[in-house]
Amino acid sequence: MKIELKARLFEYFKNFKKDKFQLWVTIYLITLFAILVWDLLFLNSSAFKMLSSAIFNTFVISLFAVLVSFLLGIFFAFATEANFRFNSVIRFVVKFLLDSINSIPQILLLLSSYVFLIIFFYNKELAQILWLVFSLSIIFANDFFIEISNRIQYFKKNEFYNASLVLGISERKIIIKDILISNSKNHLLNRIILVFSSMIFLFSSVDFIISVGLSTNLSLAELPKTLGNILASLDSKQDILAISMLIKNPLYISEILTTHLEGISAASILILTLISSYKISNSLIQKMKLY
Amino acid sequence: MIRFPEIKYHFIILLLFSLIFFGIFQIIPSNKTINQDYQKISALFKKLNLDINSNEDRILFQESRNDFLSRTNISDDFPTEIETIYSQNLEIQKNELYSNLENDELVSTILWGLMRFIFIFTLLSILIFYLSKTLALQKILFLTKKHYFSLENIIWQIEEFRQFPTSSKVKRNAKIFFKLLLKIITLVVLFSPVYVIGYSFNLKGEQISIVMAIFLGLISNGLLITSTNSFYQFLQAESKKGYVKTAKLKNLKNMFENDENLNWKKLFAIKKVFPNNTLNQIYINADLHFTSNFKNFSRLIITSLVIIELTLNIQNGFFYLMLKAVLFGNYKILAIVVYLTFLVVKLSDIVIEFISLRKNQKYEN
Amino acid sequence: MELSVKITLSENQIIEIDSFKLANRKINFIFGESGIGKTLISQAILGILPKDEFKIEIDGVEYAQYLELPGVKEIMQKHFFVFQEPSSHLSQTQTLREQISEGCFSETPRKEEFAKSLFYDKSVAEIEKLLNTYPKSYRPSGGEKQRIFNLMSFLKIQNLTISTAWNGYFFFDEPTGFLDVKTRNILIKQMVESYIIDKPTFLIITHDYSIISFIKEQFSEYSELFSYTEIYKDGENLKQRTFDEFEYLFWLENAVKNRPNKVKQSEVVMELQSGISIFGKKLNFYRNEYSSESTKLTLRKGEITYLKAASGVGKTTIAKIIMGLIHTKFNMNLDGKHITEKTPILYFKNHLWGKKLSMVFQNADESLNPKTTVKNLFNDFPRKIEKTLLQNYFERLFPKYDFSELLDRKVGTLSGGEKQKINLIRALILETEITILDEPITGSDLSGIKQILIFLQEQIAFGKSFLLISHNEDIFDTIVPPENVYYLR
Repeated sequence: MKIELKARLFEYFKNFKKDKFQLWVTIYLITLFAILVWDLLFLNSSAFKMLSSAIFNTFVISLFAVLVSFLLGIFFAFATEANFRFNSVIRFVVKFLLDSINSIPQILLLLSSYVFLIIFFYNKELAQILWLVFSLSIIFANDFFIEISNRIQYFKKNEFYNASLVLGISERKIIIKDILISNSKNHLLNRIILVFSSMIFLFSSVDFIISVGLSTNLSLAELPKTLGNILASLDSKQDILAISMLIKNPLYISEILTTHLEGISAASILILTLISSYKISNSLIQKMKLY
Repeated sequence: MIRFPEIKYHFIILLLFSLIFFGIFQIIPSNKTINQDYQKISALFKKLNLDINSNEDRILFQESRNDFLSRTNISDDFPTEIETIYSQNLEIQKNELYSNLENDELVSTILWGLMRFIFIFTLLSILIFYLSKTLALQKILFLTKKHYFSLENIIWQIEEFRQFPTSSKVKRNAKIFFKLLLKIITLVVLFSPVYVIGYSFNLKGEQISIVMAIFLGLISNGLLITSTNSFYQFLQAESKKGYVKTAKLKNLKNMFENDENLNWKKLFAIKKVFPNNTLNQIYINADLHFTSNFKNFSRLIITSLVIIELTLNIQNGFFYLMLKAVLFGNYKILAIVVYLTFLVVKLSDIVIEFISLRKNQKYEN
Repeated sequence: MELSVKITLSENQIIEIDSFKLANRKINFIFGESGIGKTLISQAILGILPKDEFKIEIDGVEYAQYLELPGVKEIMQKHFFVFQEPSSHLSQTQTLREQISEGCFSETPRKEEFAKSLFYDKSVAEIEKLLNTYPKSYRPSGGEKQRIFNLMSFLKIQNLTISTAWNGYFFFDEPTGFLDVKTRNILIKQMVESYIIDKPTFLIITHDYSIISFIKEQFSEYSELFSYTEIYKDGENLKQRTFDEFEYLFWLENAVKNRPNKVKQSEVVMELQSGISIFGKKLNFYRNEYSSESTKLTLRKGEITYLKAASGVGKTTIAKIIMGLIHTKFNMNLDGKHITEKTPILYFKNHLWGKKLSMVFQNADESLNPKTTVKNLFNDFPRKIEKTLLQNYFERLFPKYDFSELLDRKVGTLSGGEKQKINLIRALILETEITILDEPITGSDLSGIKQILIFLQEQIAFGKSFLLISHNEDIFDTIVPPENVYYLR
């Protein structure tokens, strides 16, 4: 039994050489787990609780937002690409809406959305979370819309679209089954990974800005704990500043890994997520020949 | 004269958006509410012969508030948070620039900030456009020549250790360890949000010059690495196309083989040409795709600049002004900044589309 | 030359041939179904495939090593390959002139001479104009691009003849796929002429069996220069065998003799008026090749009507107009209903597609979703397809296959001939009154072609109406009565 497990593990690791996608997913998960275990051991319990709830909030909100955004993308793509139902007016309205949203840098949209949140959802945690999911998904819907409609347009030029159409197969079924599910799932997965990582990055950055910039004077709404506002706290600032000590004294690393954990952990999880999703997406593109 | 039919569409979008924006701008309340409360309180204090600027008087009023109110027949909806409203008003007065829309200085500050922003944005865009192409070329040429060390490949070198004699193992170990460390540090820096870098080096807003802001924009937030990667992927996709096979049949030099003509000078040149090498057409085609896709990066560059300004507190910046205004409840300035940024983005879209169109038209019949 | 080649495309897709033979200094014709790996094998041998894309072994040697062998290195200086899709193998950012003037062509003489003979139908000024264009996906046409590729190969042959006595390898993959019969014949003549001077080794991969008849007619005195073989699938592996050209010619002669020459004159099911304007041209139907009087295209119940035209005239366009896929001014009577460009697309969707009309598209590879299984191709039809009915159809066209195993196959792993048969089943199983057949035998080998012809004749006997579009005139003349042939100009 033991030997079999060992052999299987060996096979799994050996596969990394060919399959960089698998390699990077494993690196990401193991490193994330290692950081959490380390924090559990060396971080005091209240700080650990705060950090873990921040990670949880950031990831769950982003995941939900990615999901909603994906559905919105499909909805908009259908509104513009499925010929039989919709006319050119709807097409223009959808394009105009998405183009306008896309022409305002995402960070400004999210900042404005936060301002709205502070004014209207003061101290209502569930409403705040729902609002954040909603605004993040609207902001990123265009990414999915463009990917999905590009795929549909590409395959509409392909002969099999017409060949199925003239046999009386419904356009909706061709788009969903043949174009999106069987021919685009890897493209969509790649897009989901990319949107997820930009969402985490943007979300944390805006949260950081709000926590640093808007908290001093006006009474600030109690916001859900996220990686961004943990990084913005004064303690974390000190923690990250400690990194520059490393240049003068490399042995300072032991100090950093035990006493300056909070900020370092939040920053490393953020950076790890960004690097890994970049690598995972790249290896997916190579593996599935998505270029 | 170059035909540019898309411009009509852009103008329609601009017009429609401006109309909608104008509507929204009208709806947004100005920050008069806080001021109104303050006016009420100060009027009452005057009536009561109290000095609103005196701490004692305010405490006195707070303590026997009901008494005062009943004496003056003022209804119960009189503001309760006297202290907060007072201090907010002080802040507002101190920061009149951000709170008063009629302030003359505000217009010039916004315009000056906008110019500065456009300048940095343009410079950074040009740099990123040039650098990502140059770096991606190095990457595709060296990766295939095995000079390039990718993180994954370094990990595999560790596995190959066992085959070497013990004496050389230590040397190799150290070499690979440093390579690995260097690579990881580079990756971490390139993907770090700018505030993490800013914190580690204790950068203060006042210390950050335009050059520094551009430099930070280049190395952080994953900007340069993603745009380089994008050009690299275009190069890779093009190098697999049929015309490259044809070029090899014509006995042109294969880009992946050694070619003494493919020197550093050619790779770093602004106008890149690689005569008699398959790379030439690959580069031209990848460049066409990259240029038309650069719109996505221009949005990322703006996002990156906003993050730099707001997290490192660069004073007098365009977006910093906006954040301050939000702080004092002046949401109209937020709307104005959003609108102006929208205009910049659309303008950059038009410029990029125009450049891309001109590049493509070279190859029209 | 005799080699074994193994190309691993993916874990469950391997192309393997134990002995791939090529007669040295001869003109080798290789026939066979499309999509079984002829192109990849020949490109691998010439060293054209990129090193890292697939795992390749030639004669047991790894591809990277194979490319370093001195003999192979020499081949790679003295070879050329005419790709079957000329469009994707030309750069869109160089004019055609630039593309025939770089690399080894920079100092090649007689370019104009070759160009003139290949573009026999163009004036000098027109050729000049053509050479100064950047090739885009639709213009110049596929046929023009194909001629440019053939031109390049002739230039390279000439280069080698001038510079060295050693013979080179020149492979042509479907070099006439986009050409009409007349141009094809001129090209073949030019090919044989440039071959005769220095006798390099030629390999011509083709599905166009009628080339055989032409060569027998034109070059009877050179017959020992030609070698005909066929590559076929034998289980998982590929095999090569001699193709008996005389047997083919005999079959053809007999089939024409047995052709039904009488027409039943049954009821008219479709009429399409002449004068369809598309892309600034007016298209008309004629009863014979040289007549000047246009007529309407008529389709009768239980008959097959054949529409012939030179390549690039717009045969496929006509098919797509009838199906409502291209919007232009036209006038058609279909089963008592008058249909024009004003007929809404919803009418096609609700009453015609899959109900009265169906169509087989010309490109077998592109008209099926490669990522799905054969079974799923029959899933979302307007009416449910019973399994027994499906089995009936499959047994007619796939007599030697295991039905349920075939249903579970991924479409992407099928050969071109298999795909085209499935395309046919898909269009016919709905039992619509009319089916348009656009090149229904592309990608098939001779045995597949024979099966399809018998199958179509059975369907006609059951009362089905076909509109046929194909450039394989030799072959379809065996089943269509001359009275049902129309010409499109």
